[in-house]
Amino acid sequence: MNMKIRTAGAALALTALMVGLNGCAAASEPSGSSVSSSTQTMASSVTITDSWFRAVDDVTGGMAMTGFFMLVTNNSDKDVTIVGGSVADDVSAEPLEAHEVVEDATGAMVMQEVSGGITIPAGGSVELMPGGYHIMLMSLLKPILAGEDLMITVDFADGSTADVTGLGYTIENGIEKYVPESSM
Amino acid sequence: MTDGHLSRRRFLAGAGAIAGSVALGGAAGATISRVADESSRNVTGQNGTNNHNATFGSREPFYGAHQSGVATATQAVGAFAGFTLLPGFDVDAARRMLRVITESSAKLTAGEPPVSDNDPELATGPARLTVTVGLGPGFFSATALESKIPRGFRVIPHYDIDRLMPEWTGGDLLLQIGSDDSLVLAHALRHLTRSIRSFATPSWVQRGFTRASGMGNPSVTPRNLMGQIDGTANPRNELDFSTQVWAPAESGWFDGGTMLVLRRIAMTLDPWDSLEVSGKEMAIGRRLSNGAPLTGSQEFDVPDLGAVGSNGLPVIPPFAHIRKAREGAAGPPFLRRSLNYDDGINAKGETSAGLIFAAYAADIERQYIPVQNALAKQDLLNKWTIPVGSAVFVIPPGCSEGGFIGDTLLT
Repeated sequence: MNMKIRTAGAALALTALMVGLNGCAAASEPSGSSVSSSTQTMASSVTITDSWFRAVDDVTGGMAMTGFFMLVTNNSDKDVTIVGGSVADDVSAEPLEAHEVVEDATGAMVMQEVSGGITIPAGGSVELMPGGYHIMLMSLLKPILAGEDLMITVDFADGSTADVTGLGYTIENGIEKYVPESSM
Repeated sequence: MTDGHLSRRRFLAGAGAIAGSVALGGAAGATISRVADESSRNVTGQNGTNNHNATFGSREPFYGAHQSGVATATQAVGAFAGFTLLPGFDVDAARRMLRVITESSAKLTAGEPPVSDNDPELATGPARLTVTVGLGPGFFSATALESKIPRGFRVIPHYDIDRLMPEWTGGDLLLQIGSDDSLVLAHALRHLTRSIRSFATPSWVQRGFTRASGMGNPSVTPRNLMGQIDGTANPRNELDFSTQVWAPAESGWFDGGTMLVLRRIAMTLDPWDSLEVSGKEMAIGRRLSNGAPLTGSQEFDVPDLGAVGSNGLPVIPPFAHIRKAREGAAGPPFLRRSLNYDDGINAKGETSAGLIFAAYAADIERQYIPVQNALAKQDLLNKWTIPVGSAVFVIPPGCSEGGFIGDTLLT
């Protein structure tokens, strides 16, 4: 995956990485940066890889939705929480929501907003993927196609944000049950 | 960076499992990979100490100056899948499709599941998996890039010997997949096919095989189902490849690419069986035992086409396969990297088997067509072989990480 992740600053991200791995930023800080761990944000604490989204090539009807997925690794010693996000206005005017897929009382799998957001435990990783946690894009205004780059902004609980670019893929599984029949 | 080695989907067995994944945390470089998990799942004893695991984990590079799957030692099994582009396909769609193929193939050939993989466990153990992308004539017309078609790229003319079936002929896009394991191959083909279904629809798949991994030295020239040693005259080293197979530096976007002629050749093995060994050897011009020309004793002895026997007749008969192929050649030889196919028996009870003949050349018109012209006219082997499929593809050069197959053509 060839994605671009822009966080509040490369130095911050590097610091976060060192803190996460060693628990001691100052001792192993190679860049001479003066940034201390107290300025670390949730966005700068994570490494995001394997970012992608489910391609949608028909948005007629105004109800088209899709999911954005990624592997989030928390390099810090504090929990990090993703609460939502945003995307360019021409893609969707709606805020992006952190969603999960769970079994309801009847045994059916249903999607709902994650209460309290998606938490990536200190030092741990969470993969957002079809059938599980995902960032939901709703009321799509234009097709977002397989092989196309899409950038979203991920919002964290502390107000920090990270821009994440993912590639579109055609898939059948996971969230399809929430999407009106597409023309694919 | 974890670089994606953290086990995907391991983290999702319900929300409760997420907390469990903390165990990973803090451990610098704690890369838990499903490759290791899957390779050791049923193995008692130490990992990597048996041949099975050596095959399982073997990787071929994806990125590089040339696409893998051409100079790569032929894997045990292979599939050639031809696709028809959907209406409306254009340059933008081409770029997007090739990015999807590239990203997914880079993962698959590394033994890692592509991000959109429905069956990620099947991606483990690439077993020398390669994915090679080819562009048919229809690709260049759909994208209005006919002016970029490399010099010498030609559809193979119709020959009187041909009995081409539409289900094995033509194609706008080719995915050529090889592996030493059939399960890995099936998964890669299926994943890629469904990943590009908004761009192209499969029109045929030809599956074939050589020897299984571990069945002797892979550099030994393979045998086809007629028992012939097939591929003796192939390029063997980097210099051979650069002068015969890879497009030269002055080829612009095509530099480092090649061209593929794919012919499905049915063998009428039941009549062939009725021939004596000497008859079979005269048809080809080589000995069945070791592939030596009838004028020599070793496989790589150069055939002496002028040699005359004590009976006054040419030792290599006038219409022998190797004589016609050599006399017909007008350019450097091409690479043959064929697979056998065996579909059991047909409705008439006849053996349905043959060769998925794959020839790679820098210039089809100069290197391939003269040979095919000569063979189609007079080749003893034509009596027992019938071309039933034909297709040609431009094989673009390889790409580097961050790029995509075809990027020199499309960007």
